[in-house]
Amino acid sequence: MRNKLRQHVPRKFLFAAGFIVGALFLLGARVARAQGGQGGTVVGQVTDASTRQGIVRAVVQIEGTPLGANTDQDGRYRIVNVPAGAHTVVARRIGYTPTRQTVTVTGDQSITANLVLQTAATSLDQVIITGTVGAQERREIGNAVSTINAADQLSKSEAPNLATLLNARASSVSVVQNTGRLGAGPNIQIRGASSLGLDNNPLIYIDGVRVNNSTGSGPSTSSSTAYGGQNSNVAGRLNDINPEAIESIQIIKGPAAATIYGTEAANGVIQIITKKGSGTKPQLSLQVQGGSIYFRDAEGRLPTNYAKDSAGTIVPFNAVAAEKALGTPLFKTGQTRAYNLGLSGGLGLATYYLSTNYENDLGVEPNNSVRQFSAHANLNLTASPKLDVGTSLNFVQAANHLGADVGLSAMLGAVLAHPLLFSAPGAEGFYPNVPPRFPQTIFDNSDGINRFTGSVTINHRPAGWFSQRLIAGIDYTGEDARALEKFAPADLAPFALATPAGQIGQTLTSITVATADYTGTVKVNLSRALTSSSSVGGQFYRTEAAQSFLGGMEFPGAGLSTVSATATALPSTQTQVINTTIGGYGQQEFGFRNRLFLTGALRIDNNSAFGEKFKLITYPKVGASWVVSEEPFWRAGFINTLKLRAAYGESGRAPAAFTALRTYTPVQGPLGTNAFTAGSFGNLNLKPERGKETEAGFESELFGRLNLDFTYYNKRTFNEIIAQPIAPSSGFFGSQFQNLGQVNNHGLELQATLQVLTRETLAWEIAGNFSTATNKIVNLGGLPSLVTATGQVNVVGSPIQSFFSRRVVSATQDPTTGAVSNVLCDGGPGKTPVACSSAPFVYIGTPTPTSTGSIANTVTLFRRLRLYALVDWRRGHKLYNANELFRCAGALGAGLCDANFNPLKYSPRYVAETSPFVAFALSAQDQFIQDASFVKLREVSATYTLPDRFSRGFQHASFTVSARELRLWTNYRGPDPEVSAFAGSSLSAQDQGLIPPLSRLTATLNLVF
Amino acid sequence: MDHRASRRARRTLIACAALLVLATVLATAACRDITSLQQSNPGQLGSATLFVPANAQLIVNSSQGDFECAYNEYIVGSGLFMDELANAISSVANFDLDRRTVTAGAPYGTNTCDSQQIPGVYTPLAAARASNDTAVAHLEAWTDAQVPNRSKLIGVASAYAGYSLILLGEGMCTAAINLGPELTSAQIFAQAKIRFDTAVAAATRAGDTRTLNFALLGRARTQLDLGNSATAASDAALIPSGFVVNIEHDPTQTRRQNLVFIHTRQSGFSSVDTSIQNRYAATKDPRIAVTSSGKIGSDGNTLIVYPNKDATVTSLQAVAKYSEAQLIIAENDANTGNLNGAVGIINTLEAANGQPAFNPNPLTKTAVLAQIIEERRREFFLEGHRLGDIRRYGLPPSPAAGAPYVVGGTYSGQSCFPLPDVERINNPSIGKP
Repeated sequence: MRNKLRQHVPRKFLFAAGFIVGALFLLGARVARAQGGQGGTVVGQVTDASTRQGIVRAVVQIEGTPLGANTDQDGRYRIVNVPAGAHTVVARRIGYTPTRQTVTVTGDQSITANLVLQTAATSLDQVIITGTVGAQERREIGNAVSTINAADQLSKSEAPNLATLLNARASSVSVVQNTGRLGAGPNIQIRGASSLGLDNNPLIYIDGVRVNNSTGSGPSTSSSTAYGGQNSNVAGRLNDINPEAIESIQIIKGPAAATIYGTEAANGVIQIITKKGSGTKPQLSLQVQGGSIYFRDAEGRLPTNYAKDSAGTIVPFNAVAAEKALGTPLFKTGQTRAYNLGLSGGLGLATYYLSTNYENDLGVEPNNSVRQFSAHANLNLTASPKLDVGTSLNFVQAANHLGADVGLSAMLGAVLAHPLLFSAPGAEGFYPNVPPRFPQTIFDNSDGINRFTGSVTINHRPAGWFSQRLIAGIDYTGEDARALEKFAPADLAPFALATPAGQIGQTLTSITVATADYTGTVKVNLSRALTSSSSVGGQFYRTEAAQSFLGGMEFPGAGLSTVSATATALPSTQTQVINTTIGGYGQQEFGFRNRLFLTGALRIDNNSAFGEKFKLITYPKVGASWVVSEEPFWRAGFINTLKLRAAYGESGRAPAAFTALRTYTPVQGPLGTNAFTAGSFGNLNLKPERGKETEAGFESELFGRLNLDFTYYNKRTFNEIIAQPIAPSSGFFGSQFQNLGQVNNHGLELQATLQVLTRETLAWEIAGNFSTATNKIVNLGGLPSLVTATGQVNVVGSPIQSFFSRRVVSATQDPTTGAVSNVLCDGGPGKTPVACSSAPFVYIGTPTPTSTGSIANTVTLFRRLRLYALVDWRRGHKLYNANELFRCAGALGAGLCDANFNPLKYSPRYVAETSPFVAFALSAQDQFIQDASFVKLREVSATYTLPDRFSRGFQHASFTVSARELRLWTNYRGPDPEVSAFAGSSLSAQDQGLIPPLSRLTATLNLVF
Repeated sequence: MDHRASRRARRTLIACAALLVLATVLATAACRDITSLQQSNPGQLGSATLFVPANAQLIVNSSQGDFECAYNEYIVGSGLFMDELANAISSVANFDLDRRTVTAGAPYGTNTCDSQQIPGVYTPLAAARASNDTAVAHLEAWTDAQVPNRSKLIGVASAYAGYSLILLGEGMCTAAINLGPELTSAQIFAQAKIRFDTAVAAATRAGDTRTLNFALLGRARTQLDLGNSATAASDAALIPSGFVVNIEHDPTQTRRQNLVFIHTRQSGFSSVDTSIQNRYAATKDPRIAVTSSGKIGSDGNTLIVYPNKDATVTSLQAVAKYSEAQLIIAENDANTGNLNGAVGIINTLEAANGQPAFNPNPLTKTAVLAQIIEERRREFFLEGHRLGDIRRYGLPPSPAAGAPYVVGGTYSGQSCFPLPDVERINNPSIGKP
């Protein structure tokens, strides 16, 4: 029986959500009635200067008032209750330069104001979310902020989730995929890694509320006998967010920018702004998407293995081809189906945006699928010219089946397969004598999610010089993750490595993140030239994570999937973690003639994970921005816009919960009595890691068509929390966490957009980004950097979690047999080669790409047909190819590689490391720590917008055909370098039977009524 | 001001006030909390409230539990290192353990009580020694009025501290206590004797016969390790027939599962060593009975053979038993020329296990001692004695140093675990490498 995922969202959330929605509608209608007929109406259309098409979701505002509206699918808007008098109407859209127009409203008349926007990747008037209240334009900000126009990018890329929407669209933002299995969540790195022991993922906010950004979650078994959970901890919360509901994404990249976000923001901040309603008539949009998901060229990308039969004949074997010949393809073609329904509009002074999304994807294996339903409601009410209230409500329910790889899985079984080695009847040659249908049938790693994210934002402007904002919200995630090994039917029971009667582990997790954020800003003009903006704010964040595990082994029969149906219970566990941050900040900005801006800020924080003796931490920040192109002396006509900027700021990373406490762990004692054992050694003085970052750069527009955004940054992270081992004779074991280390990062970022052609019949835009990122461990607090085995290690002078191994540098190869002898290894920097048994472990490479980039081309023909392609790349990093190591170095009792049989075709160094003794006993494995640089043709799409005559009844109708993961260029010898086992860490870089990112071919119909 | 404007102003005022009140509440809460944020871990015990007289029994249960777990790990770790178990999986660390090529940074030194594939040796024993010593220190600081059965608890914890030190002395080349200097095995055994003396005295005071015998047998083993077989025999002679102290196991608690069962039958990490398999094939001695699984381990070479004595996840494992006392007496008899006395003890054990009588001709000390070694090997198979016996008797390792290892390399001549780096580097009393 299929395992049904059921979970109960606390009713209080649903009641709260319903109450807020109802109250806002009632209030909105009431206010609308009360204010009906006050003032006039401004209507019009916002269009693209080059394509002449209406721009959807442009924000049109009556400047200096809260009155405004979003444009509809045709770019039309309507703003009601505009007070009589002269007003400036301003239209903004990410990717365009804002445009203003003056109108005069008289009585209750309707005034038309059509606005034309020019494309610009770098618009200095773009509004940026900075943590302070009110609009802060890009020109005022001294640090880099990347912005992704989600709706536009999504329409081109048809990105199936937020991770793919983020990938390759902003400089220095790397989405680190762990496995291509559906339902897996990635890690994100911004400007590389800078923490040795803590999470390197950025904070994520949705409409001002901090949300759960956990990675590496999912089912586990807690049983040494369980195999079904192979690499089951791959779920991540990033992809819970429906990309269709996102308006834009702003990425704040490091301490220089994230200071006022405080402790925990040193990895950067991703601000997700969801779509808002527009003040026009109701508009219904429908999107239907269908397509296929497939493992591109599985036969070519999985290795062909070799073994000698009894006659001495070398027999090749490719598991994918063999299964195909048997009529039981190893990987089937999956499918994707997604439906999105949106409704936006306004009721008087209340606007709304409602959307629901249903997605059901089937992966390439029968035990891998995603089914997700989400609903999103944004309601905004302009209660008065001085007060507006907005709510953002999101609900997600998902029932994912994550499949399995890395260990006992069809994928690893195929990678290591050969019937001469795995000859058990029915095993089909798969490692380890287990046919692929066993894991695909028996293992079910399910992950059920119920998630609610809701917030209320109150903006209040009691006076022209004073505005304040209060955001309160909550993000609740309930996860029901189950690692199920089903009761094996008679034909599969012989292949069970543990019990054929099956087992189950259920992990129930609830994570609640509460946010309260108050900010007040006073803006005054100190003189005609000098302005001042003073902000103070206070934030409260509380994360409560509770997790329990229960499990059992051996079902009495088939079809059972509950813990209570098992014969033997597994030990239950329960954990609860509460982390609280309280902090506040003050910020002062001075502006001179709207061209030169100086900003200073100071943040003070306390966090419950700090040691008892460490109370508060302060983070300063200064920044400067100068729009030099607006200076009277500016004469460089070809440089239309030039803003110079520089910033210095600090931010932190709180210690992991409980690491400061000395504790003892409850365990079962003799005869089942209560007992305890030494737990954490603790550290009363533990404090956060402190990142100090300086960055400088410019934003410019050249020749009216080329936009460049350049940044150089230099970050030093002090007080790195390091686990210092404890001498076991003390009675404690493991490590004590201490603030000992230092890591330095630096790099540069370049983002560019070029409008090659802007004709009505042909528009061509090239957008690209490039970034470098280098990190180096400067100090480990005097701890020795002992490397005693091949693997990823932190060593002073090397990047974080670098690969070290013994490295064969020479060997003598017999010209007849190909056998090698006199194998010598790298003796260390500046030293002569030595026998491998006494060789040091030397630096092989870093798991973090040293450069990343992408180029996207968009060509629009006759304003109807849009062609789009995105190529992205990463370079300079390594990946541990355990697939090849196991195949070639005899880990299975015999080598399965061509090099094992035809050594003369390979270098002596490589042949030397195919010896089990050299590779395993001497741990010389550098040949298997391989260059993971790649270039990918990531996205291709074609969108045709139907002419009006063919889309009667619709405001807009378009059809898109898109494809993802179409081509890979790499020297990496595994199926794909964009994978990594151990999803909980963004720095782990090991490929072992991992499913690569899957290709997709989809067709999408977009209709707006 | 018209009525509408007045209403608007009032609304604005109310909204202003509401926000101000809210901000004030938040600020007040923040001021109170900002310097007093604390965390507590509801799943862990804090040290402040744990070590109090009311928890005396809990503390001793815990220290005993630490020893039982350490002993469980030691049996498998030392069994793999010597000739009781053989590795069956493809793992470099396990190769090193089986091949006796461990380095000071290897997992035997750092792995803890929950380790299964690569057992922890040093850390679990060091932790067990420390927690039992800590328990005794607290108990000695408290009064009988505070802890009614104080002497009994001191006896129990002292005995387990002593056994922890015996295993540290027998298995480790050197070790340390309480961040102290590096100690030789003889120095560690001397420390063990002090614990057993305390245990004997406390158990005698408490009238706790079981602990008394446990401590006496432990002290006898210590004396044997120190080369004092006569003193050992005098303690051993006090052990009554049928005496045994086992550790019991739990089917699901990882820390309390029978690790021999887990390692061999359940997970196929190791197999009974072929030298034992051969002995059983020749003798059918039930003490070393084995069963072939018919399966090859993931190293692709090793046939996995199970020990019958650890047939389930809850099979008992003996820490000390009457036969050990008898063989200590036999060894002293052999050393003092009472060869017939030794042969009598040997043959009692042989008969109990359906084995033919030992009847050497000529009857020599060498032959009797050799048979005692063989008896100990069978009697204490997978009970944590073999490594100590190999060191104490100076037996050549098996397979011999230099013999080829199945996946490459050769066996080394290591006969004890080196002091691990985790102790050497982080112990301020020990010189750094």
